[in-house]
Amino acid sequence: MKKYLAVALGILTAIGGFVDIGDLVTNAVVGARFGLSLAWVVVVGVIGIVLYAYMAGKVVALSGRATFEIIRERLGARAALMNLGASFLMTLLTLTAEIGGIALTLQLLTGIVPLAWIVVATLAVWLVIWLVKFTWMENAAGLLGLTLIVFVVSFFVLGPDWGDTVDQITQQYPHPGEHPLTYWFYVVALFGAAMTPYEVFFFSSGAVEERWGRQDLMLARLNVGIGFPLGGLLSLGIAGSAFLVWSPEKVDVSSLSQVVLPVGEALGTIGLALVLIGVLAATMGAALETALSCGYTLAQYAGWPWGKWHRPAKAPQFHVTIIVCLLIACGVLATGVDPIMVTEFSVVFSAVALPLTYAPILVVANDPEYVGEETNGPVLNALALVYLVIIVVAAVAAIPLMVLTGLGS
Amino acid sequence: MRAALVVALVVGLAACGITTPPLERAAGDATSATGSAALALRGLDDGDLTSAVAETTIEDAVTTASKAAREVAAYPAKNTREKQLQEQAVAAIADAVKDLHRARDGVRQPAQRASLVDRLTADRDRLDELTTKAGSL
Repeated sequence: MKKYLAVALGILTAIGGFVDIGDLVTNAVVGARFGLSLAWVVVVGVIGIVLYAYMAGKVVALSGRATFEIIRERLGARAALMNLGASFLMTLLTLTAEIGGIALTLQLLTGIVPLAWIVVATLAVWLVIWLVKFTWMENAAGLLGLTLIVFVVSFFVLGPDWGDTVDQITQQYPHPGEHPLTYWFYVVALFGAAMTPYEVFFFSSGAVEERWGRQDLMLARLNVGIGFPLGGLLSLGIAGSAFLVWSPEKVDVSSLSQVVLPVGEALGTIGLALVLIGVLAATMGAALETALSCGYTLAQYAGWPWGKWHRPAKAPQFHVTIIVCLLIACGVLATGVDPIMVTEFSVVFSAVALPLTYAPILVVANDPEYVGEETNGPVLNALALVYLVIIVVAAVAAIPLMVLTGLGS
Repeated sequence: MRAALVVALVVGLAACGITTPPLERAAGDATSATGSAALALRGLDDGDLTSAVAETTIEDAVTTASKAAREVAAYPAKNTREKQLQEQAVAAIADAVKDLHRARDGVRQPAQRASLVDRLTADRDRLDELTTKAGSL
């Protein structure tokens, strides 16, 4: 019975923890402009993250070591440094966006300007990392994040025209007033938001924190195979609700209040309260994950002791890295930069960093030295290679599309 | 050398960019801001939570519309038609900004909400029309 509960809890936290500020903003922006035309990108992105997170989880379960440690050992310090550089900077940018997201949510809850909340949010993230047990931290954020299901409920309550919804999903062109390149820019942004690099590093390092072994392989399969796709449904709920409320009003989503207002429109004050709890949990959870991931990646590359299971005095570089990253994120936001703008940049640059993050995972997941006889089968390898091609195309196209379309404007 | 090539690529791409023309973009931003504020005010009940969300939405709308007003005013019109449209847009956005300020003050005054929503909706429709005209220049 305890085992089944653990599986259920893992799946629920995977659903609730799937969405972060990048998913919230990008899906609402895309939904208001393109309806559900880009739902296919969410599906493609979810399958990709399922594949690669599963491979990362498998490596941990079978070798007992986190992906980044093995990447350095397997590829050498120089190649791993490129991987580290891209992933670390992207994760730091995402951490900045998440802390900005917490501050914006607290503004919506209290009416007090977000600048005042940035220090509070940063301090809260550090205190949780310092004081709260890993499992408690992960489960609380994931379970509270489940309240984001109100986006899906709102979509149904708002009463979509089902014929129009099917048309949006099946017919990609034309979009009146939108250039095809803008459409492709958002395809890449949405893909980047779904496959954010920190997710696999956190998943892999978190599995080490939770002492996964061979017996946990099934848990890994269920967490990513059921939890992530259901998390993807939340993304579609965000896009669908944004379309139904904002498109008729000719509104382009550019703030967090516009992301949550469709739920208030559909479900009133209770819905608004639930969605704000969900957004706060999602951004807080992702801020914790990204802050930890900054520490994980650098410590694993450098060979320092790492992990929350160590007392801070036993892993000082790991904890100092986290503190420095939090201070950088706080400093960037204190300049008054728009957190939504940071989020938009973070999802685009995530797409750029994807090949450097995901290609080494595929190499390691095929190395018998680490996974024994459980190397990828031909079907998994074929799918992973197809995704690697998609990832490379998205990475190459991301910056030109961003410049050509003026960040999708 | 590599850095110079990257800079050249970025500048080149930006030069042949497909971004929306400035007048149309600014008018579109003001339309979006005004529509957003109208909806936030329309869906408001008397709870503190919804008031806080509506106030933030309207505050964002004021910022966006004020920025759009500055951009439209600074736009160097190339001909008489553009000049006329620019003047109309300046007037329309100025009206919208005034109404957005009233809306911000009216969030916690239920008696005024309905008339404010009507005004903002009218502002939005007027700005939307101007955005369409700016797009056809």
